[in-house]
Amino acid sequence: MKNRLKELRAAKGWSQGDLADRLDVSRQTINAIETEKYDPSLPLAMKMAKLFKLPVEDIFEA
Amino acid sequence: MNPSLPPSNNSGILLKVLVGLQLMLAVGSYFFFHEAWPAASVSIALILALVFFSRERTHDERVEQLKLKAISYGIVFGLVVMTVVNILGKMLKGIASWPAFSGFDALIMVLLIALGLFHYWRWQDGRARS
Repeated sequence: MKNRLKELRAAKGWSQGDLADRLDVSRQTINAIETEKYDPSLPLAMKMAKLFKLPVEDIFEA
Repeated sequence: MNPSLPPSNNSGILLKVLVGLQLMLAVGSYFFFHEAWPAASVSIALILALVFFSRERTHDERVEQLKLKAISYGIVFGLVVMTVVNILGKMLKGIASWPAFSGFDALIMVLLIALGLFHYWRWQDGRARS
């Protein structure tokens, strides 16, 4: 699944570690999502949407 | 997958203590018993199970997914390897000396494969930091 996580994170000026701390996951998990090796669960995707104040479909696309 | 140890600050210390005790038991049983390896293999299998099923420092959904995937691969490949080795042992009986492998040996093989795969995939997840 494609996503705009890297772009949105860069716009906020956060490192992978900063985003990981805010989402309560590890930096490796953020890297796996950004590199599209892993699709996050719905609760984690919703957490990201809430953090970036965007709808989930603006972050992820099938 | 439910981790075996609770998510407390003391779980790391508890794990180290348990692994230490098991290691002492493994070394002790290796030197104490006549058939050293079968006695030690029980403790080694327990140490590996403790290490594999304990919580990571950041135990998130990706860790749980990778652990489940790793143990699935570990069971399939570990049991296939041990079955092949046991069949070879039976075929070569009389030609070469071949030990019989127990269930704990199989468990050690499964957990070693699972631990190796888990840490390899975790390392791959952390690569290409942007």
